[in-house]
Amino acid sequence: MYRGAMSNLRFAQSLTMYEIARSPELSTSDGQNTVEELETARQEDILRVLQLFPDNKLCSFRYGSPGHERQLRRPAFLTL
Amino acid sequence: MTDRYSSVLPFPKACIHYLNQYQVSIKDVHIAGCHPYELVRKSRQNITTHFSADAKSAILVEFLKRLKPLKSLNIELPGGWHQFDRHYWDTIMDPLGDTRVSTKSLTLAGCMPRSFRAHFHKMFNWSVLTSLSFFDINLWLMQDIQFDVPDIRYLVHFQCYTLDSIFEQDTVMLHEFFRVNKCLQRILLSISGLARFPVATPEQVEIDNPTTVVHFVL
Repeated sequence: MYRGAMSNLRFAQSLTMYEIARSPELSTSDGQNTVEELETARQEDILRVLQLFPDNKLCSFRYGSPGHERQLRRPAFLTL
Repeated sequence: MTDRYSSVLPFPKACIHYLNQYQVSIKDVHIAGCHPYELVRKSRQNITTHFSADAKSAILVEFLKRLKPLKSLNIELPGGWHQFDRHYWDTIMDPLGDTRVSTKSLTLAGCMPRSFRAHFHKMFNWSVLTSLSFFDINLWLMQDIQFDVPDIRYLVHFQCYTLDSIFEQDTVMLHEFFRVNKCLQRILLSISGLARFPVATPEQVEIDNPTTVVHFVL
């Protein structure tokens, strides 16, 4: 099921990513990670999503919260 | 309706570099929270970007200089402006030189200091503009456009959301603005005091092809 869904990404031309946040309590076992480490982990999360798509297929990319919303969403939420 | 995107957390630099390297076909890019320069590429046709730095004016001007003709440009200026911005617009002579940004649709969201008004109308090739949207602006910006930009004649869509209050002289300005833009089909207004000083709609001034006119009254 998962593999089938991912294979469909090769047809995707548009990607919208809502804000991806990583909260300290969810991302660490001891709660001692630095802000830099958490930010690095967040960056890696986003990169992992981007790397799912074949090269040079996307025509449209959006990142952020639509409208005036400023709430953080987690985990990554995609609309294709 | 014009889409807007906001972001609390930045879009990581490594991620926009990845997109620029491996997704070179992206025509539409709408990212809140990365450096605006990173979004400028030959393939781009529709761009949304935020200018969230403390001193955002110089970055805005440099960004505009780098742009190729676009279908749409959405400029977000969250967080108000800084004293540096006021100094910038007070002292700069001709920030873009002969360059005019060409876009069919322009959205400007956010305030700039009042000295910005003397430069804003020189930044764009208004004769190609068909859609103009303002969010959270000061109403005086509209006045300058009306009086200093005779090339705005072909708007189909106009949208203005502001917390500023409208006064009687503003209604005259908007009335004239609607009159000269004879192609307007959609108008969205959210202006404080509009109920006390209603603006003459295109129907009342006999614009040729009005189809949908919507007023949001605060």
